[in-house]
Amino acid sequence: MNLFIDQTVNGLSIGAAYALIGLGLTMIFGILRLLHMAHGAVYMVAGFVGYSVAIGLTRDFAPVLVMAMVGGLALGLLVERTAFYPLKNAPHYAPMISTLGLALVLGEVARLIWGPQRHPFQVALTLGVLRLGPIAIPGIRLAIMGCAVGLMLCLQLWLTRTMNGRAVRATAMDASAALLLGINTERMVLVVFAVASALAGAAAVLLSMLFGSIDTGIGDNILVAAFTAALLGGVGNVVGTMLGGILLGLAGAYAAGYLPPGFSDAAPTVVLLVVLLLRPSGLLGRRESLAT
Amino acid sequence: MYHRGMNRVSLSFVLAPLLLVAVACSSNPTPAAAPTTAAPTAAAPAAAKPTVAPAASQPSASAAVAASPAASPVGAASPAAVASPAAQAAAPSAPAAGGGAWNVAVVGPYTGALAASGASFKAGAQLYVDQQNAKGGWVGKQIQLQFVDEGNSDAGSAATAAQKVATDPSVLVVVGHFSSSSALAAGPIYQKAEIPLVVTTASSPAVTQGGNQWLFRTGTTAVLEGRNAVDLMKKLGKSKLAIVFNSADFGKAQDSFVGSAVKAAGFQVVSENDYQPGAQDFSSIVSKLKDVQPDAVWMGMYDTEGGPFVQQASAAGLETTFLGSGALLTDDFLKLAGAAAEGVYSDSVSTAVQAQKSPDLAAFLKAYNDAYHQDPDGFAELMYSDFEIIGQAVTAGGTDRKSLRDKLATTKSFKDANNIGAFDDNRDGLATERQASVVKNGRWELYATFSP
Repeated sequence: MNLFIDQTVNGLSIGAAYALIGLGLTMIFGILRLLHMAHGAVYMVAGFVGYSVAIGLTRDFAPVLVMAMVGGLALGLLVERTAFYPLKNAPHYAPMISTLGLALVLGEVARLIWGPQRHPFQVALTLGVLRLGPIAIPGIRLAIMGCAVGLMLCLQLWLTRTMNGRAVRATAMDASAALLLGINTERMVLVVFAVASALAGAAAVLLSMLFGSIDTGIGDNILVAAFTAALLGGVGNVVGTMLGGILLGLAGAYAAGYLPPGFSDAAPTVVLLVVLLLRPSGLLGRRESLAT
Repeated sequence: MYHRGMNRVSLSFVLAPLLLVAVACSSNPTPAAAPTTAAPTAAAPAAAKPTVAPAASQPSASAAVAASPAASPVGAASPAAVASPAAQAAAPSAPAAGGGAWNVAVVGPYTGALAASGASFKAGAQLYVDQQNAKGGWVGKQIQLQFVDEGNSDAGSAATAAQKVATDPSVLVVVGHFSSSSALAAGPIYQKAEIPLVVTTASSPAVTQGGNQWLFRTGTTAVLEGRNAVDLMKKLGKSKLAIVFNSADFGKAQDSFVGSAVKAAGFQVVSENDYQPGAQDFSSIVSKLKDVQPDAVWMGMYDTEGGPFVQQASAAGLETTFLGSGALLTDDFLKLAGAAAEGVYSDSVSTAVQAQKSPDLAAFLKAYNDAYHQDPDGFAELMYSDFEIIGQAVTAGGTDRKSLRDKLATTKSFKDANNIGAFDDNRDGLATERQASVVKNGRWELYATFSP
């Protein structure tokens, strides 16, 4: 029973972080209908911005998190300007290639700056353990879930309750009509990239803290996980992506807890296949779901 | 947006899962992954970055950015290493390939999660070559090194690197191929090209079991590590072992040989857990171990995986004793594990410890410190030792690929820092010393010497 609870906590916390990253992909897809293959690289570089703050300036949690988010945000804008905007009249697969190229460049630049090896990632944040009877939940996992859920709630409120958020959804629903209504759709795209990349930066710091290490390869596995989360939930669907991330995290944790070695890595893929077989557009997937 | 029609969505939906599958395959280091990673520059970014592997088919422009010497085409002079001790040592090496120099290819993981070990390969090789060239090289000819990157040392990248080397007629001998997956993938390629390959760190017994007459191994094997695990458990009074292993060939061999040796000795193996190479997150495995409560855990892991694992286990309050392979015996492990490294055992000992008994090693230790201002790790020492053996074989008449192979196979009295002496019928080195270390006060120290 304890094992089950432990694995549930593991799965929920990792899954919440997956969802944060998947959300970025899903928002960008929702508004542009384009795949952002450099999102993992943005995640990695933003994480290293946090790492640099932690080793160079202060180990306090808040500045590390904020600086990583700011770094991610800036990088997100750069990605939009370099890999998407110049290709706005190109076929829709062009940005997939340009972002892949950008991911390579970011990866190599990061290796030049921070080196190819794995670094310890330590932030001065001592959190106790929450005990509920026999259940012990490490504070850091609660913090990750709290941060992720909080950020997701803010995102949802922003999308549904604010003028800017509504403009984003209007742009996602019908860009031409939004433009006719006087919405600056180009700016909306920038806003989405900024928000998506800042969320990735937050996730990078949270996960690197949890794992205690960071290296320049971390963006790749996470991109796969984020894509899987987005596909599970329905690409373009914000709530679906959150669910997808959490489902993916739980599947991985239960598999590692209960399946024999050799099978555990396959579990998330199996979940994805089953969901896509039953619901080809994902759990909550609909075509223009960011708009709904 | 960007005023694009909405119905283009469908293709993206088709492409995304395809890409995902490609990526999932390439992060799984089996030979089946080869097509995805076997791009020209897989060696530099792709191996460390499975997701970008599909794009790695771009020409090596991206590799040049990596400042990775090995990524440059074969035959190029070797510039400095990436942030490694070798950077200081990369004195201008011998001039152009061919004619006047012995061309030795050193294949290692110079980028990616194992890059620190790759840097040690470079440093060990460069030190030997600088020393030997100052003495006139091998039989009057200078030695020229060619560093070839194999990224994360997975099968796909290793095969790419090996193909590149095998097509170079000037290469006399190849040293390296870090992981077991790498050595297993590369072996047949050199066998076909009839180039001698000396591997050191690949510990899976399968590496030398294919009957490949061109492949020699100087380092330890998982069979020996199984015996070491048993001896360590006996000495520490442990009886319930859990095994955590990297799901590549290295880890699988650790699991199977340590597991069977421990069971044969009458101990229990209570839990076996694998993870993808390069993993960061071990929380699920740690939770499972807390549930099973083993009194010892064998880590068939690399240093950069073992460090975070031990750290996460300690943070989660797992109380047990950690034992592991020689791959843990590095500074990176100590750094990544932090305070949790204290009391971790490895079935190998540092060069500094061995040097207390061996004048040869003491000389190597001093030369290494003079060149790089730090102590060598086991990888640098083994690489240096490999070059000593090859040098003796070349000097004894092994001046072309075939005769070098024969000299390696038949010489019975090599003199080298690592005491290999000779190769057995399987072309495995006959190292005899079995020792174990423990982390004390943040340093690897000698724990015990076991009977051979």
